[in-house]
Amino acid sequence: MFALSPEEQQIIGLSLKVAATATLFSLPPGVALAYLLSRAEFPGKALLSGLTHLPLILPPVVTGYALLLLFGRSGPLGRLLEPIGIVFAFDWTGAALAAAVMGFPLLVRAVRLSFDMVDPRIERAAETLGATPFVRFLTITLPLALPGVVAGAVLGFAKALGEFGATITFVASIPGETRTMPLAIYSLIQIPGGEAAALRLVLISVAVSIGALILSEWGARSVAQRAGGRR
Amino acid sequence: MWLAAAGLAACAPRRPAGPVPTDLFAASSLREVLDAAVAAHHLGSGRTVRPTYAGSAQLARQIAQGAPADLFISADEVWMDWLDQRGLIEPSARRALASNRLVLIAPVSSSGASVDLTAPTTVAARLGEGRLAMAETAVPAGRYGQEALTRLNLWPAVEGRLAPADDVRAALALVARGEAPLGLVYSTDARVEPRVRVLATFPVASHPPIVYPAAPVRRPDGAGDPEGARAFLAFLAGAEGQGLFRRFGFAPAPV
Amino acid sequence: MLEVSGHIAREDFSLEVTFSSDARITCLFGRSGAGKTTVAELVAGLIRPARGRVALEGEALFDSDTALSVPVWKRRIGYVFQDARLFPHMTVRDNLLYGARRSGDPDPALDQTASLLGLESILERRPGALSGGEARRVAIGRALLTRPRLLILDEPLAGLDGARRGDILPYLDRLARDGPPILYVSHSVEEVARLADRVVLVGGGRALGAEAPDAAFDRPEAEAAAGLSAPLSILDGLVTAHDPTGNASQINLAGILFLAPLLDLGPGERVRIVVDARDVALALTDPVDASFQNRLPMRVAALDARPDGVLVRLEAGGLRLKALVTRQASDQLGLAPGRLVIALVKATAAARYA
Repeated sequence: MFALSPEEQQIIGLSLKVAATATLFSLPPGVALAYLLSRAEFPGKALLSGLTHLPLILPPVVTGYALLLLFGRSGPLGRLLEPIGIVFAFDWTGAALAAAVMGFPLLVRAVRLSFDMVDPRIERAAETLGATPFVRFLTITLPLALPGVVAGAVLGFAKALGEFGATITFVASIPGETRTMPLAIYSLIQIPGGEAAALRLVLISVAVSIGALILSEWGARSVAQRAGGRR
Repeated sequence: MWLAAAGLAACAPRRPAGPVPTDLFAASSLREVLDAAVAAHHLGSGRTVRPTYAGSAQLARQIAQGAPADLFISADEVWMDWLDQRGLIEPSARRALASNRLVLIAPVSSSGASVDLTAPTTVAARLGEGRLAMAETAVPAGRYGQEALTRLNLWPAVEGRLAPADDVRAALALVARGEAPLGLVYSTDARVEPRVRVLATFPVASHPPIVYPAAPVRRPDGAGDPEGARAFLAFLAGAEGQGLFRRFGFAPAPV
Repeated sequence: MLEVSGHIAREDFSLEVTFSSDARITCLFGRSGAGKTTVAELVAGLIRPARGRVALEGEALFDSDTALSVPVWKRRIGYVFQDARLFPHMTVRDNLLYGARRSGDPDPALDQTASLLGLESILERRPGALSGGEARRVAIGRALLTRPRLLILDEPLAGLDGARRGDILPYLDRLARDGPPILYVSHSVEEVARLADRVVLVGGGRALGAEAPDAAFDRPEAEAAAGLSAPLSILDGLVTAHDPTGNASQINLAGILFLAPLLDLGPGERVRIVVDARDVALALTDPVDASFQNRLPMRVAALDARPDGVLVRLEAGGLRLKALVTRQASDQLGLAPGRLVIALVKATAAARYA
């Protein structure tokens, strides 16, 4: 009963590949942006923060359509990237892009909170000991915030796994290429009698998501402990 | 928080004092023609019909969960049968309203003459590096499309080069934007979108008849507006209604 | 040589700083909130003044005229914060070595420093498991291991109870003798009197100096801004002998023998005694059968009238002592400059600051 059919394996495998890629590529810009929002003051900061949260509040289909307009084969960025071999349209990388965009606000939010919890006074102490800003970030800030970064990544991963609206609007539902779990589940519901198969995928989806959320929770608590200096 | 909930409940729209509107659930490919029909019906009889457009599967499942529809028009017989099996429609009042054709489309800016559908190589050639946009094969439009492509021996050539969209309108949009060089949609959809042009029409014999069955929905306790449902159904089946279908490019239902 | 001048202006606070000092231990002394930490942060580069100049050993670290500002991490000034600020995710050992590692020091003096500060037994602990005193010592060691040109200690004894202070004081003494030049921030007269070679008075929106402690504490600002309740005499001397049975030590103060409570120092070692002017009584003749162990023949150098009495400045050889007596007492004894008197100081009076 719980053996997965080759088709299911393919769908789950694709979903994990898409979500993992999305999360991995979101991390560097996400962490950088979160650090900036946490530590720096500059005009337009509120605007930047708002823009980052846009995918959270816009309907996913709208975000997907925006991606299509920008990165589609006839879109400005799509045409820019095509000569160097980067094509998102109808490709699993496009699904990863959609998932990354949708998960980005959650990632930035969680990581920013964990940076906020790192006492800037400790960073100043590191400065007096000869640490340049970059070294300070690597040896002090990041290690202290790391569990929170992990929590944010896991959150982004879970969101990427469940992404539907933006994905199907941007890269369609190509089996084996962009038909991730949510798209596959949706497709199964279109068929009378497809409920059983859909349910199986739903249960797997739920299990993975709950696992991810628990990990994220643990990570967030770890940051509080570490940054508070109690171990 | 309880205050907020109470406040919201108080704001919920009450049933209008006038005649009860008829709730219509219809397949999205019928949007334009039914909007016109609703307006004409109101003009003629004073009755109000409230349409909701979505995929037939979604609508059928929602009706099965008690959604307040008075009249259901599906994009294929499958979902109507499904509801019939569950005793949720009036089978005696069920009738087919129209039929449709499948067409192969391309962006309006693309060059090239019309396509010979009997030549798989030309279709593949027109496709080139791109993908064929169509509704995903689980939904009615996609199912018809797959059937037609299979019968015409085109399926092997395109199977790995599809862009299955959420629904037929999304596929239409992909072609209109130039994201896909070819698309497979209903002929009625192609008429609605100026940014695409028709390359070929699929022969009627290449697919099961694309029929739009309609039936009043059986509501518990006689709720809703069965009266209005029958009235609108009669309108759609009558001369004026059928005339509208014709105007929007639909063919008559097979007898 | 540390030279500091600057003007710091904030919404609710402004400070004018001017001092220079080449002493081993320079103290920033003033009440809480006077701005001592601000001055220290200015020197370290953690704060930028609106205008000013900071130079250490001739090298300019900040100069508003030339728009020069050497970043904190390049100044090689160690800073021991009041709240220790140890890195919670590292052991004591890694904390200590952090700065040394940043500068690529191939052979940091870890063992030496650990033994200087008594940290050998806690090297593998985490900051969360340290007492306040231990954390402070680790913070000091961490700063020391960067071989700084200047070490800033911001109230290292603040917030510690008697036992903990006793914990650290000996180490501070050792540091004072063997370590780099120190800029010591404190609001405690005891600490400043005990340790300072030079004092910068911080108060009333100004930080000026640096001068010998005696002179600094003589200023009217010292009492008002720094919260001194009475004038102090700060006397430098050498321990000559101990009298364990009598619980006393003999100190040579510029040639005059002085008896103080038993000190934890050996003969020949430097010691500093602080005597509150209120603890000095005066007599015209030597009262041999009184309890005063210290009966010092001195000459009246000057008299200052004050709201709370008369401040009598005494001198004998190189020794200078202040006595605060009432107006009546002064009149009664007929005190006047040039008058010979006996200064009476209870041996236990020096106990307050030893």
